[in-house]
Amino acid sequence: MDTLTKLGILAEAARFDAACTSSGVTRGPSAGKVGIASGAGLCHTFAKDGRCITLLKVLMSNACSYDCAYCVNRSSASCRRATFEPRELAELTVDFYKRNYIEGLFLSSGVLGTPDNTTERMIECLRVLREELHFNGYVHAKVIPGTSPELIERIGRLADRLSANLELPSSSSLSNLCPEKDPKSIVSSMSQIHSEREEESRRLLADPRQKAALAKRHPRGRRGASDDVSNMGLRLNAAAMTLRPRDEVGSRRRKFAPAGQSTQLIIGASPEDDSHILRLSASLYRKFDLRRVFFSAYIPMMDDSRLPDQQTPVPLRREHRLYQADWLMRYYGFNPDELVTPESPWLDLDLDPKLAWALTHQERFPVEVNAASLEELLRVPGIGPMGARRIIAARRAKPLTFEDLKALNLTLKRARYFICCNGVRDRQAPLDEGLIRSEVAKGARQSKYNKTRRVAEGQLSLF
Amino acid sequence: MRVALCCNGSLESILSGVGIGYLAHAPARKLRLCKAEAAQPALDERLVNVPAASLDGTVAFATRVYRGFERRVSAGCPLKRSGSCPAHCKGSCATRLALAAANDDDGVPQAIHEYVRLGFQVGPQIRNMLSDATVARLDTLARYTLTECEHTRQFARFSLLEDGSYFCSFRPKADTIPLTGGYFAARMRDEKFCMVDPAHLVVALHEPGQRRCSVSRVDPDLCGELASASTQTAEGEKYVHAMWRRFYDSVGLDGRDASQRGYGLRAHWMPKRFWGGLVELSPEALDPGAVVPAAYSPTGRGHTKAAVPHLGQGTAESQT
Ligand code: SF4
Ligand code: SF4
Repeated sequence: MDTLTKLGILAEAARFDAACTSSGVTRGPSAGKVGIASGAGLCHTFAKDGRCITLLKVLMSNACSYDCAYCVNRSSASCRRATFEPRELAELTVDFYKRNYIEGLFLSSGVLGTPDNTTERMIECLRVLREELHFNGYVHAKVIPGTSPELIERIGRLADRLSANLELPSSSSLSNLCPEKDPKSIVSSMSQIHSEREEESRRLLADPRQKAALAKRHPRGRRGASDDVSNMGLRLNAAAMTLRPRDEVGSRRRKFAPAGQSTQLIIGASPEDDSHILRLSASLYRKFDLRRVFFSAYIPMMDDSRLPDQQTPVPLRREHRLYQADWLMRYYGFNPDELVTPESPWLDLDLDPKLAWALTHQERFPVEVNAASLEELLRVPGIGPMGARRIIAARRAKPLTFEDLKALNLTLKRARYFICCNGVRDRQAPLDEGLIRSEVAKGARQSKYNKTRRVAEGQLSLF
Repeated sequence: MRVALCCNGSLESILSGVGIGYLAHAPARKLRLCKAEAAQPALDERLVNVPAASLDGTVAFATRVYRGFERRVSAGCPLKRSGSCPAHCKGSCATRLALAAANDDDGVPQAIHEYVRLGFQVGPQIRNMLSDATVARLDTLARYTLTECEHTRQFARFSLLEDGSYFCSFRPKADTIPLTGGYFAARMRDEKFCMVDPAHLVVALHEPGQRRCSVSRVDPDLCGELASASTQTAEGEKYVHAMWRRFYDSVGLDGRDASQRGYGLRAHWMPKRFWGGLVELSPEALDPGAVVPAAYSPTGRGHTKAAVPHLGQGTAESQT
């Protein structure tokens, strides 16, 4: 089989993995090497479904010996099978990189015999890529469930980011849908990656030379980038503005998985609610210092009595709301209990989670833009990480009015209900809490997005 | 009588114009800067060209204005460490002038003129005046250029030519090639490559091992000649293009398009004006050509093939 045909099969087989970012590590050019890694990441194209393509995301092989219920590559499926030669895939990565198609490689695989066999083949591909073709760009490698710790250690020295996918939000669902996967081994891979990174931090921080270099780099402590409001007029990217403490060591000095680890959860193939999923994500961020938890809306592809009916709509909006909630936890300082509760465990599909929170906490508003803290501004619907910092920078020059907020490129459509400038509220915003609630919620529910979703799901529009 | 000072749109020419206004003690309200090709005098305005000094003279004069402005607005900045600006700020107090100048908008010269005057007047305070109309206007122009630079990094596509070098032709809506040449030089440090922007008549050339590209303005004929070089691609390049197209076509998911979302996410993130230059959307890339490069041939040697089966054709193949 020639590479063109294999590529079609193995790209299609990998398309259900949601992660495609190249962020988290910055590496400059180096003599004799090909490429760089830029911390903010870069999307090179967008697929027909609008998802960003940053990396060459393929499986090493789709000849999987496992039989996960939802997966098109499962051993009992009758699909075409293909497997890359390690060098073939390494060459392909460099060729695509030099043409500016990608930032690097996202390498995953079906289980080719055993997890260790598969990982060894992946390691060989990455070894050729790094050591023979001198590729200095980004590599994301998936940890195959059940891989031995020695191989995780080796692959972590060749890849920038590792991901051990939990796949399903509970061990009972995992055992039900993926009987060959052991939930404990997935968690233990995550734990190993976390401990190796921690150990590397400790080593680097204990070295006096590294310590001095780091102190020079972060003179303003751990929060660093998040409360920095310099150059707000030109900043385009809010990705660095997370409120989570930054990595003290930074990616440049690390040798093991410098861009950290991530995981993925499939949404809608099993019965867990949003409350369960958000609590699980929060605990994964905390426990294993994950860089990202990716959500992948379940797409019914296989007929299996353990799965929802084939006609079930893709829970695209649910995936979107979960991403918004995840963003609120990482960039806005929310915790899951503020967004969902055991009594009300589902995110509202019509209202974004921040707006839904604000409408039930109107006693916290209006916020005075000329005095509010960063955290308070971040809670205002319609004000994002960039907007909040622009406000803080601009109010150093003068007290701000609603006109000034427009000049700062802030969209006031929603924010106007929740803020005041020098004690004055927007003239078009009602004072009564009930009126605010109905007006804002009505506007949100009438959005094109919500209308399309209802039509797609065959619901009658109520407005 | 007011004066409209015509410049050629380059940062050097604009800053020279600003400097001339200063030296002439012309009050801001009496002086307007404009691009020569878009100059339209108002009833009470006289058009005057920025004097055509030698190139060196213009650059030296503009540099004086630029340095003076930089000193004035960055005075006492608490973010500077041991006298230099941190990486994320990178001298943006003044480099935003260059970003704004790279914008194609006809109002750029006057926006820079007003901003520089304001900077000299208020000093470092300008850094926080984000909601001021003059500052907001300049930032909008500069931000647009930054976005176009990002688009250049995202959507420029290179092809391998017969002589082993890489070639790219890209049409941004701002003069981004001089601003992004360094990025591509870092990315492809050991490659020889050429980037052409036929809209701004700019060429960036990179020699293996160099940290930077050499950037030149060229006339339309030379630009056209260079662009035609892109047709002389290396043997097997069609196959690489076809692989990229195949990859692209294989990764999209059904059920997540505009009919589900209410809007097309792809066109939102990837403006349609770039689509014509994207290999992944090019119908030509459906044809892999007759030559398979050695690295991708099942025999390990480059070969001329009879036909490449497409997905769904032929018999089911076992694993390799
Ligand atoms: S391990 Fe399971 S999810 Fe992964 S490729 Fe095999 S069948 Fe699919
Ligand atoms: S570029 Fe940034 S660090 Fe440098 S003077 Fe200006 S604001 Fe300060």
